[in-house]
Amino acid sequence: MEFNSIDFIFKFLPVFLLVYAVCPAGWKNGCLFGGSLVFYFYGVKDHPAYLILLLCSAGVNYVLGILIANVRSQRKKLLAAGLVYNFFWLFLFKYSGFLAENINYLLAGAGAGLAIPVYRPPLPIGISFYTFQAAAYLIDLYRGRTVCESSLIRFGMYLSMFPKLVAGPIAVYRSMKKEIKRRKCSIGKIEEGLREFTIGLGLKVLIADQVGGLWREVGAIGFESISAPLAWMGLIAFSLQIYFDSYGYSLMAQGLGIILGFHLPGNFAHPYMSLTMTEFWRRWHITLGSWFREYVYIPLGGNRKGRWKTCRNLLAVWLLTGVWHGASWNFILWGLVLFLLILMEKNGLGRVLNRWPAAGHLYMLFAIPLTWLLFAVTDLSEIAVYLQRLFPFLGENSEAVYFAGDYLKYGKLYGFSLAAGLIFMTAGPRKLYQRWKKSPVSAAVLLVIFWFSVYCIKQGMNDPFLYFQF
Amino acid sequence: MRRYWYTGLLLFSLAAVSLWRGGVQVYGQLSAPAAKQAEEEREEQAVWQEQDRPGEDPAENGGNAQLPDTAGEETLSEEERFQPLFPENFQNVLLIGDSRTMGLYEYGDTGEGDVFAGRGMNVFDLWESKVSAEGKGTVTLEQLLAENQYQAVLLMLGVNELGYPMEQIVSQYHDTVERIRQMQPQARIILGANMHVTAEKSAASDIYNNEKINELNGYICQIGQEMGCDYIDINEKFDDSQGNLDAEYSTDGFHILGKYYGDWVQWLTEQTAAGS
Repeated sequence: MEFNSIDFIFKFLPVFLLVYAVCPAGWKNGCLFGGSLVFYFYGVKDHPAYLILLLCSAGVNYVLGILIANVRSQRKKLLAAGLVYNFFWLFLFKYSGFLAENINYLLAGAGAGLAIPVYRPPLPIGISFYTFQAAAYLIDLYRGRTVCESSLIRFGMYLSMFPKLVAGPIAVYRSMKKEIKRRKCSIGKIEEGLREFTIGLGLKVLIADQVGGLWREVGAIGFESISAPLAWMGLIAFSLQIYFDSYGYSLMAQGLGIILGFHLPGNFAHPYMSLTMTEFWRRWHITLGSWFREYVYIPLGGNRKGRWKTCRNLLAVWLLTGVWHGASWNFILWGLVLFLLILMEKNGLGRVLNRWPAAGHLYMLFAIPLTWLLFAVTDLSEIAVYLQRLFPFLGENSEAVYFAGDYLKYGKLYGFSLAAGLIFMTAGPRKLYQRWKKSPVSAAVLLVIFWFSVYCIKQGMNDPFLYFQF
Repeated sequence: MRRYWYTGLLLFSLAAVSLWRGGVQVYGQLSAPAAKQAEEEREEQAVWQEQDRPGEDPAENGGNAQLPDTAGEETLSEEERFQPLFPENFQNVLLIGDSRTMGLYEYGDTGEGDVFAGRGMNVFDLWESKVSAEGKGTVTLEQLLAENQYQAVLLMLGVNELGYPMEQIVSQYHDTVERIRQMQPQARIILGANMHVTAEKSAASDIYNNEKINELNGYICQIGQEMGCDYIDINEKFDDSQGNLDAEYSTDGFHILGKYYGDWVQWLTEQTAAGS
C-alpha cells in the first residue's frame, strides 16, 4: 500500500488511527505492530511468504539481540550469525539473480556449455530498509552503544512500523528507544503530523508525478530521437522527479510518525542547493549515508588510516551505495562516478567549490543530472546514446530523427511543473511556510493541496476518460 | 482551537465530502429506476441504428460481395487498383488523428500534407478542437475542410474513445466520416485502423486492450465498406506473431519509438487501393 493512494488515506489510516486512539496506553505498541502487519500484508498479498520473512527477521534479531547483550563471551559469533542471517535474505532476493547472470555471461564467454539458473524473484517490500535497521541494532548492541529490547512486541513494532517500513527513513534502534517505550500523543502532534504528511503528499503527487511524465515521454520517443534541449529537459525532469518522490515520501513517513508520537529522522535537507557532491550526500537520503558512515566507513578506519586506506574506504562505501540502489551495472558505474567526484573534491576541488559558491552551483548543475543519468538508465548503450544527445558535439548522429522544436512542445506541456519543481527545491518555500505556519492561511493552502492531490490520485487510477491520452 | 486549524479544516472537509458522496449515492439509488429506463431507451435506439445498416459480423474484415456500393463507385480498373492511395509527397492530403498521427508529422516526413492532430483527439471532440496546422494558423477541422480541396483524407481515430460505449463511438465515427464526405466529396477518404498496444499493456487494462481495439477496427472497416472508403491497417507492419504491438518497437507500450515513424510514413506511401 502506498501512502499516496486512496486505500491508504481514506481506508487504512482513519481506521488505524481510530483503533490506536482508543487503545489503552499499554497496548498501543501492540496495536501499532498489528496494524503494520496488516499494512504489510496488503502490500505483499501476492507473496504472503514475505510477511513470514519479516516476522522471522523480527524474531531472530530479537533473540540474537538478547543473547549478544547477555552472553558476552560469544558476542562475536552471535553478531556474525545475525549479520549473515540478515544479509543472506537481502542478497538472495536482490543480488543473486544479478550474480548468476554475470556468471553465465562469463561462462558463455569462456565457451562453457552450462549455465546456472537465474532467479529474479520480486523483492520483498522494505527488505533493504528493515535489513539495515536490524543489522544496525545488532552492531550497536555488540559495541555496547545500546541496550537490548526486552519485549518482542516492541521490537517487532520497531522493525515493522508502517511509517518507515516501505521506504525508510532508516531509523536506528538506539535513536528510537525512548519513544518506543513511552511517547506522547497530543492534538498538537496530530496537527503537525498531518501538515507534514500533506506537504509530502503534495510534493509527490503534484510535482514528482507531473514532471515524471516528461521523463516517461522522452523514453517513449526513444533517446535517439530527441533534440539536445529536450534531452536536458528530460534529465532535469528526472532529477526533479526522483527528488520530490523521495523527499515527499520521507515527509509523509515523518508526518505519520509524528502523529503516533515518534520523531523520525529527516532524510533530505535541500540537497540540490549543495556546492559539492560531498555536501550533497550529507543532504540527500541522510539516513542511508549515516548508516554507511557508521557501519562501514568508520569500522574500516574512516579517514584515520592514511590516504590509501581512506581511498579504499571511500570506494567501498560508494560501491555499496550504488549497489544498494539496484542490482545492475549502471548502479555500480554510478557509485564509481560518485566516488571519483568525491575523491577529487577531497583532494582540493572541494575547497575551490566551497570558496566560490557560483562555481559550486555551476559544477552541481552538471554533476547532479549527469550522475542521475547513470542511475536512471539501466542499459549502458542507451546511456551512451543519451550522452550523445546531451552533447551533440560528442559524435556524429547521422540517424538522428527528431523534430525541431520538440522542446517547445514539451516546454509548453511541462513548463509549469518544471518551474514548480525548481522553486520548491530551494529553501524558500519552507522558510515561507515557517513564517506563516501559525496563520489559518497556511491551513487553507494545505487543505487545497490535500484535496487537489487526492483528485490527481483518483484521476491517475483507471478513470477511462482521463487516465491516459493517446 | 486556534492552534489546530489544519486538523479542524481537514476533518470538517472529510465529513463534508463523505456526506456529499453519501447523498449522491442515495440520490443515485432513488433515481435508479428512471436512469435504467433512460439507458434501455438508448439501447433500443442503438439497435435501431444497427438495423439501418446492413447487418454484418463486425469481426470480419473481408469484403462482402453482396454489399451495396453506397458511394456509387465503379469497379476499379487494374491500373487504378495498384495506384498508391496517397498522392506524391502527400500533396493535397489531410491527415486527421491523435498523438500517433502527430508522431507521423513530428518524426516522419509528411511532406506537404496538412496534419490535423493532437494528443487526446477523439471523434467526440473533433469538430470543436483547434489545432495549430503548419502554415495555416490555429484552425478547426471545419475551417480546414472548407478552405481547402483535398485529394485524400486519412482518418485515424478511436483509441482515445475506448472508455465510451462502443455503439456511441461507432455512431459518432460514422457521422464524422459522413460530414467529411459532405465537405470534401471529391476526396478519397482513407480510414486507418488503430494501432495495437503491446501484449503487456493489453493484459493490464480493461479498456485499452487489443480485443477492444480489434472490435473497434472491425466496425471502422465496416463503415469503410458501407461508405466507399479505403481501409488500411498499420498493424500488419508493427504486430508480433500474437497480434499485439511488437515490444521491440515501443518502450511505453502505447506508442512506437520516434525512429519508426519514418517507416510508418513509408508504409503509407506504399498502400494501394488493391490492398485496402
